[in-house]
Amino acid sequence: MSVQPTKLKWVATGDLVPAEFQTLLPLDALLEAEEQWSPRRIGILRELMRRGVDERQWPQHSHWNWAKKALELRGLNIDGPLSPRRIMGMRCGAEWQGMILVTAVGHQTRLGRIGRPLLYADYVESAPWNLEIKEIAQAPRYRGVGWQLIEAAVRLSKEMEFGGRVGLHSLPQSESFYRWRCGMTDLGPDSQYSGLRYFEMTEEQARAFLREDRP
Amino acid sequence: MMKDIRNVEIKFPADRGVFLEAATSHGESCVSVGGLAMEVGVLQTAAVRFPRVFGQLVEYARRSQGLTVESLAQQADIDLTELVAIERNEDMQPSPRTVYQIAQVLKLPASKLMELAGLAEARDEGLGKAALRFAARSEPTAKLSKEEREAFEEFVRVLVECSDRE
Repeated sequence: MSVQPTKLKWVATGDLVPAEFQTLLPLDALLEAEEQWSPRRIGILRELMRRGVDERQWPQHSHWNWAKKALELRGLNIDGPLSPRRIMGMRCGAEWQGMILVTAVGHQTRLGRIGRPLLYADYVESAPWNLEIKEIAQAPRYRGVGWQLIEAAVRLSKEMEFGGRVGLHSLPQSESFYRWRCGMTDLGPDSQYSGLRYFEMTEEQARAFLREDRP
Repeated sequence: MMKDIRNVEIKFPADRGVFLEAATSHGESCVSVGGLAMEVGVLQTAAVRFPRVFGQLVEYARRSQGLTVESLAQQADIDLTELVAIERNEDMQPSPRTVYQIAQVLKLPASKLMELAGLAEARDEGLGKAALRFAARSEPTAKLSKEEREAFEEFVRVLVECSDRE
């Protein structure tokens, strides 16, 4: 397991606090993270319901139950020796703060020269306590998780000689993050993915994202 | 030859300053994506949210226009077996072309039909409520009863209203 030191911003004090990036994790880590996050997700939903917040404002992934899908996930051979997938995660203290699963096969570029290999992000999540949810006055605990998860994917894409190219299907509530914070191109709804919008990062966008285009 | 993704080392620059600034300069956004959720069936599609409604709507619209299954399939230039599967609410997702062709012949808004068929994410709460009301009040029979016709006509009215708002 490869561990890289990094930091997150603890919002309560504004301090940068030590965190670690684990860049090769087993499937059990993903399930462990979901298990850690589940009670807070339920708490958020209860609070949203109690305050009568419109369902359309709820976190769109809050009802997903990955534990129920453990068998299907194991069937995908995500962490087997010949797997084309890789799980990476950020930990601060004993808790997982975010996790990403990427795959090197099954998806190609849809932008520019079509059909080139890219790294596809199958799964990206930040811990529920890190989300700002104004409707229930929840301030995020840490900042910097989501951006660094995508940073790891872009760096891995470069090491894979994919030039930093990354693709993903965003949930509607995440679209602005991928469009504006990551600078990815929005290629519109994909009917094969229930109408989720497909985003892609080109090599040039990857250089800008990693600040390599700056003197 | 492609490198083994599990044996590639990721190199983070030792000086993380500029990256931490980029990572923490904004509030923490939702970052969820749908690829894996789609693959293992976690993602809740419109077809799951509106069970049976698409097939029922097609059947009712066809019958209200006095069309047989064969004549609708012919006019829409779609496969008869696919149309039968849609009306029987078999566990299948129609192709976008099929839904579009059906919408043209039955004079229903194609974009809303796409949502009901699970081919596009439903963004209108009114449509969901109308779909559930329609599903609850309709039973497939050979001829539309007065109640069924009223339920069907109300649902079509909401479909058109939702479509007009777009």
